[in-house]
Amino acid sequence: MRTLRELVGSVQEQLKQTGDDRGVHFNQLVLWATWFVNKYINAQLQVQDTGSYLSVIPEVPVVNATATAAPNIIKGRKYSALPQSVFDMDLDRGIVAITYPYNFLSESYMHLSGVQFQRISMAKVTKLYYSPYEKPGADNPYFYVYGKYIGYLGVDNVPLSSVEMWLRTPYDPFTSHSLDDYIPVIDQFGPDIAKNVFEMGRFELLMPSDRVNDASAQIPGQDVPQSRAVSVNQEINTDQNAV
Amino acid sequence: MQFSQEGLLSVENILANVLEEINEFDYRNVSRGWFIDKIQSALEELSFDAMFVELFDDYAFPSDTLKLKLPVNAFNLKEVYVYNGGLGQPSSGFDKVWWKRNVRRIFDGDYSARMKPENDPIYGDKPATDVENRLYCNCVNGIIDFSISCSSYGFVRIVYNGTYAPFAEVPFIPPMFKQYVHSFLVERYYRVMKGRDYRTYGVMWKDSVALLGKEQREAMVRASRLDKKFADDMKQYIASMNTNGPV
Repeated sequence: MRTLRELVGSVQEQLKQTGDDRGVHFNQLVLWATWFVNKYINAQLQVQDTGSYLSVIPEVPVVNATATAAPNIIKGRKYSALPQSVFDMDLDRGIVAITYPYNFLSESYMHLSGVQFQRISMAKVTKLYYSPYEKPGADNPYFYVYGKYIGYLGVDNVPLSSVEMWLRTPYDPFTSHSLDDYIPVIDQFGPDIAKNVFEMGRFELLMPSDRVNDASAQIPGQDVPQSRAVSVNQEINTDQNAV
Repeated sequence: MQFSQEGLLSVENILANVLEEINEFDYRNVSRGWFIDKIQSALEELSFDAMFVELFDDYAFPSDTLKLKLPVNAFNLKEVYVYNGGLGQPSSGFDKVWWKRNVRRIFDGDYSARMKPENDPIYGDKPATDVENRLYCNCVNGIIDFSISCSSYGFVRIVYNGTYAPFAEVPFIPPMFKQYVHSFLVERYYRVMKGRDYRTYGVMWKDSVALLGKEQREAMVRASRLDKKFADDMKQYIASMNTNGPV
């Protein structure tokens, strides 16, 4: 079981091997590693039914807008703000479930099988009203996602103050997670993530400004190779390349 | 058809199996209401072919209009009776209302008909009361037209084939048709999905069509084999030439 701290520490150690005075800041490597971790998690979620990256947020406030505040807030419509960022997946599968208890006045959120909102897109909302079985209602509610907000259908007459959300949230060691959290994808794709982070580090170390490095003190300054900008459209100098 | 009311299956009972088969637990592609709508469709389709649902209803007789609308879930009117007493509680038995073709009552007064007793070109004039005094009706476009003489009764009972649940009510499924409804839902689901992604769902849809055909045949056979007592009694009556038997 490897953590991001171990993985990034390992990469940082490798990068230091390229020169005593060279290196990339730890936080910079963590940021890069987080990108790749989330990339692999997202790819994994497309093909795997896993709960490893699922978070539950018990009481997300439901707001009944009393005034219109364009954009996105419309008077009389119930909505919630997404409490965390979620993976942007097909059919909004980053939001796994939104529920409220059958009897929210007396029951707590201990029951998993409350009334579950069904996902719908704005383009399909009108069609719901064509069938009495699909029509939104208190026992047949829907949610739709727009930007960082979630709108609700069918609960207009329900005194709903909060809902429970099950979200597929990206890994973020700076806020919601820690460097020492167990992230399964690090075990499974550790070499790939490390390779990608290492490549980013190597690329940064090869930046032209870094090539003028007087700290080595072994080469006279005037002998340091200077980078030369060459257009890709410039013809190759055959004389210089002649063998 | 005879089956226990307690034995009827709920929507959830069907969905528990269907959702497992098509892997649609989170209702992302189609909604839960869509499935219920298709369950209703399955029962309707089977009802039209097998006529396995026979229902009856009692109404206060519409003496002001002499017209009665069929219930929303009715599609085949079988019998009409009128009676007095209380709703569903006849004090002196039921009187049968006979069908008369081409009758369209305009309002509670006159009626139109291709052949009326007072202008019969072959048999000449007959007293209109001969017909008007009889109990008859006709059903056009879902509305039953009654003769004036029916208005001397307080209540009417109609017997009809219908779909089991009126539209917009949650349907319940007779247990003998569980597999048919199951296959119907699976086929309809893949039919929708193949429109979105044919390469993935086209083959599944073709498989489901074949399975639905098989289940539909079985359901039809089952529907025809049921009501065994009625069928057996009819055979005995016919075999013994007992004319007092059911007609």
